[in-house]
Amino acid sequence: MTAARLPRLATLAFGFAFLYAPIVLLVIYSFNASKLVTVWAGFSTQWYASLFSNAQLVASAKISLQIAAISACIATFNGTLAAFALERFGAFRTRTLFVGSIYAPLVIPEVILGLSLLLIFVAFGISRGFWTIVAGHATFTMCFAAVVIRARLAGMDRSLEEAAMDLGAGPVTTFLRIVLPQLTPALVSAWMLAFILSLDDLVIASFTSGPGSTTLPMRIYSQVRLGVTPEINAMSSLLLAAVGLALLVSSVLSRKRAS
Amino acid sequence: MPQTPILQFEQVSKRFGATVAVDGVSIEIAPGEFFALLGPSGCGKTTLMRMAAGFERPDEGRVLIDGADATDVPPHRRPVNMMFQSYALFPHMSVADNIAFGLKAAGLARDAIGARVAEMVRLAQLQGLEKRKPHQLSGGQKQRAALARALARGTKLLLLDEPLGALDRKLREETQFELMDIQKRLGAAFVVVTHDQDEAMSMADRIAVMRAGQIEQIGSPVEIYERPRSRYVAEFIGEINIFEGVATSSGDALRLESSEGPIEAHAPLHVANRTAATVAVRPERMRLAPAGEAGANRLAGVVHDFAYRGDHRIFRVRLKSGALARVAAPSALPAPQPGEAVTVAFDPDACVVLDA
Repeated sequence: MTAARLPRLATLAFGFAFLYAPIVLLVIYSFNASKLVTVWAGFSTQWYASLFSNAQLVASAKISLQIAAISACIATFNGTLAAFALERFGAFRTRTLFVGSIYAPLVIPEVILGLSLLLIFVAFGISRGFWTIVAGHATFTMCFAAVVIRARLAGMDRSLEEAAMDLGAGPVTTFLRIVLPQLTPALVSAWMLAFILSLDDLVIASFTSGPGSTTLPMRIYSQVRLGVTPEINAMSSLLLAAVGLALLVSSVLSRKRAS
Repeated sequence: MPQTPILQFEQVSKRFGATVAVDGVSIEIAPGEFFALLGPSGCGKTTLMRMAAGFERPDEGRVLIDGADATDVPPHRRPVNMMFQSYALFPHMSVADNIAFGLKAAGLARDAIGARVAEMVRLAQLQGLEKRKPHQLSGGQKQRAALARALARGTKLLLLDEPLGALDRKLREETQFELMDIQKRLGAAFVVVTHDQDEAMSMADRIAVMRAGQIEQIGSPVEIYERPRSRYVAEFIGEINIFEGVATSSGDALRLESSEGPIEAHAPLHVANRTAATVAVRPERMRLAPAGEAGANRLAGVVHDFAYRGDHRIFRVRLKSGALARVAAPSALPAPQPGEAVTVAFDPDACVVLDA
């Protein structure tokens, strides 16, 4: 057995390296004292300091976080409604069409989604900016939210709702006191997923943004074209840390619920 | 019935797509009665109960609760509570909160709720478990918590869907007596859905045996067991020997020419002369006599094998036609060995003439 261990470990190491080496490198170089991204010149946190004095980057980060938070709320709400329609309304007439149209944005290329959003905003004379990005993000992240929430809803024991009604609780009380508490982990996961997807999005934001609403991925992308600075590394490391923390919190939360 | 029935089904039917789950069922259940709906899975007993609780709407007929038409009353407005087969305890609430749920929904004052919960905890012997979550309870404790929750609102009608189905055998028997005891103390009508004939027989005042959406027979456990109306009921409840043949009746005596020999029984009024008839005899109403005894209700046979059941043995006796008859004999009697010739003997009183 020990003979087979070494190749297995090597395979594992290669796999992880393939996935994470670029990211680890990025984080390491964010602490580089040199301005040159590829030459190590000692440890320093100066790029983190200069990052926070870069008003443009900070403003973009703020916009991105706001857009992500708002669009995630809208996506979670709409996703919940869609999930309920799919799981609880039985076989209504346009169900297949509805399922298709809910899940289509999962596979439609982002460029096309972005372009079509742009066209509709132009057609209706809506000036592009913060709220058009929110609308665009809420549209495509809603599908992901619906998938997550629907899965949880499908696994829920219907007799719990029946028991609540049997004990004299009306539909609203039953929803608030029985369905919602059990749905909470899925709602949290759906919100986080929508939040991260929105934070991460470059394509749809590029199509739907206007002056004064440059999101963080757009800002990073435009700066990288002028040359990568360690500031970008520092920004990316912070983003990674934030996303990692969010994932950790949500997994701890859902594990607590499960036990 | 002198009193208004607490629950009444009036020609109730329910279809799911092409299948008829319940087909023209009428039942009246009296206040304080312990009633069992008995039948194999898929016979419509659960659908019938769900119509009483309001989770299904009958396609035809009416459901009356305490004399009032409840056919279109939603579940949360019905003076009925149900104990679910899966117990359906709310997983995110403690035992006490589960029990209090129905009381809060009824808008009771806080100390009234506390007092009632304490009372129910005592009744269901859940002391010390009030703060536990359902997943921290054993099967029996879950069952008692579900019962306490269903009883807390004090409705005069309780529906129980396979209440003992998830318990192991020993606990099931204990719980049967507990349920009967609680039912008597509260004076509420209990309607139990079960596929277990022993459970129905030992607990219920009356049993409705169901088959394919219809009521096959309603009666007390004694009636159902001793005077089954049909072959289906006879075979569903306990073990029974069936003899078929042509009947001749004279007065109240019936003589069946079966392939095992002549069988004499007391004739019910409806059997016409010279028609095919079926006679059923319970194993414990038969005895094993020495070989060679002749006459009516004396069937020659050879012991095939027997099973020891503690207080009695069940013999399988190969009869003339090759059919196996089951005969119960007290263990205290000497047991004939397999291969030994015997006579299976029984009285005309032991014979039940079946409809079909």
